Amino acid sequence: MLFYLALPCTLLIFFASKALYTIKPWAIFHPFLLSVGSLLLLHYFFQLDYLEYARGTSLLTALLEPAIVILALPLYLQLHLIKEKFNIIVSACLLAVLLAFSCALFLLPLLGADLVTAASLAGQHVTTPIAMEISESLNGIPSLTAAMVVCVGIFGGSIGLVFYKLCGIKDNQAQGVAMGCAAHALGTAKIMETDKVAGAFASISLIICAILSAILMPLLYAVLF
Amino acid sequence: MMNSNSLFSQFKKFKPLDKIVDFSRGFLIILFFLSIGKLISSYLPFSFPGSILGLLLLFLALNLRLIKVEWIMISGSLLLKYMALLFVPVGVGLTNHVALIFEHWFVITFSFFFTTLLILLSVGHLYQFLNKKEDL
Repeated sequence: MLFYLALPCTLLIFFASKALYTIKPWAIFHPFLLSVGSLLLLHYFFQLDYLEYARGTSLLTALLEPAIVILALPLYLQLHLIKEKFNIIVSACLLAVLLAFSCALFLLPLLGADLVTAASLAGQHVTTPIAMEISESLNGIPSLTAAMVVCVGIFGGSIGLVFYKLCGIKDNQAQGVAMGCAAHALGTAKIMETDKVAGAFASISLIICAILSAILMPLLYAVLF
Repeated sequence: MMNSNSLFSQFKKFKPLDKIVDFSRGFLIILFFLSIGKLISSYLPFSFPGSILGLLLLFLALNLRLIKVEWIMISGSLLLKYMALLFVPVGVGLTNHVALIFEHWFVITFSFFFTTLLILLSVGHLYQFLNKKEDL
């Protein structure tokens, strides 16, 4: 029964959340968080079988990989805008990837995290489909990563501009790049509202960051652990 | 004769069909690059996600003008627009890891706040510094 209901229910809940978000655009009402939250509650209250649910929604999960491939489109559309700054953007993204990796896998174990949790948190700053690929190749838990990615995006997006003012980052290109590296698509959408230039830099840095993470993180993990 | 001609022009004006054809062409192109990426990744000596290879190959093909942007525009923007929906089932997978999250809630919250702010701060300042140096 759940097998047939899973997909329509997910669609219904997702689009209802989206509608609610357009009426009340509070960060906490983000469609992903709201729909995952309500589906989690449904699972908890009715003791649903997750495996059955996952099989019912496998159509959506199958589209995850094409969704990664299509990220080439925004990268291509933005590239000409920022050609002469490409080198600086790549070095900034490289720093972000190394910071995210070392914070997750060196700092967190000191605070008592086990390797699985640490590995799941390594990819939390890149866009969801790639973060999940990374989490999987580091033996983390992709679903934990996906949830963290969204939380980080919401947090970064809502605190970003205030934080920049506090610590003196005035260059709007720098604001965009840092946002793309730290808070991926959600932060990018937020900064796009106030500044189109920063938005373009954010969207390119989020994809470069994701590609670099996908290449470097599994390599570093294989060498170090 | 007249009749069939007007029928033909009416058929051409039928926009939804155009859209469906456009969408499927774009989607097939995406799937084509995905499968090439997966094929290459299965021959690589180390594990590397085939989807990322597909991304890079599609980007290369766009730059070499092998693929026109218009071909993948409709399906691409649709997929990008509703991307969040695709992760919902994965997010619901958290139901299997509730114990782990409660056990490690401190580390998770710490890394959430600390790493995000650290990246915003250091990447922002590095870029600002390098950008200024280049302008001089």
